[in-house]
Amino acid sequence: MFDLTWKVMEKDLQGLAHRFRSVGQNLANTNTPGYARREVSFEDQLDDIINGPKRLPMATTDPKHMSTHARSVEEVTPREDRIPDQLYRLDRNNVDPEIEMAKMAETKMGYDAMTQLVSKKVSGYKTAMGG
Amino acid sequence: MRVFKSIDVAASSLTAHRLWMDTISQNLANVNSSRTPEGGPYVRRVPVFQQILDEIGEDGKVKGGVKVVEIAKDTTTAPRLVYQPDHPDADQEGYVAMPNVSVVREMADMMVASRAYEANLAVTTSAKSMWSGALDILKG
Repeated sequence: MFDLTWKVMEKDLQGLAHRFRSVGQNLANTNTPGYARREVSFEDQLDDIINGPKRLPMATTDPKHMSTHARSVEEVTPREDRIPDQLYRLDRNNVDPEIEMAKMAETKMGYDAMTQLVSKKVSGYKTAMGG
Repeated sequence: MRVFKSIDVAASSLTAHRLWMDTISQNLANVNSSRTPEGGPYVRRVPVFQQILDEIGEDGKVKGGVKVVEIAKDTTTAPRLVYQPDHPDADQEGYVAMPNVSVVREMADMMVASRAYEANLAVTTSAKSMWSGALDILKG
């Protein structure tokens, strides 16, 4: 009953909520001098697990070695990076409100789609149980 | 509950930008004040913004967003000197030291502050609807 889809949905919602917060953080700091914008990535990790890794994982010869790849959906953790890319403002702040607003809309739509999908799955179970 | 936290982050920015707006209106209100309790003409005020790092606060909550650490006096620009010999604050040559407030600059700052305020309002609105979407999951 609790298959891979559930886990992927959960991780996706978690990652999108994290990205939404980072976008909010970027927009909150549009006028803070020296602020470098944040970016959240997690889709590549999920993709590696569902479709197999694109790059070969590094070999681990000791159980204490940390893996460079998430081995299961549970291990996927959204990664937040500080991006000190091309600067276009004199106060060394690189937040572009247009990009952040677009990313916010995209994240929100993804999140809404995912909650609807989870909702549909729940209603499927309800039907199956005859409720 | 990151969606909840993003409302806090946006709220911190709303507060900061409203404070900036207050500072701008203070500057514009005093554009012709040649006398202050400290003596001399009014000096333009600017808020100093600082990022709040993702840290755990005293209440155990993760904080983030932006805060205004101080409202600084802009001492980099000199007061405007206006020739007005009949003014009580005029110096011996007839010049009055007026505040270093530039109306054009304040207007431009006002646009920046209000646009940032709107952007953060949009974040709050989206977060609210995402949250209600998550709550509706169990409705099926």
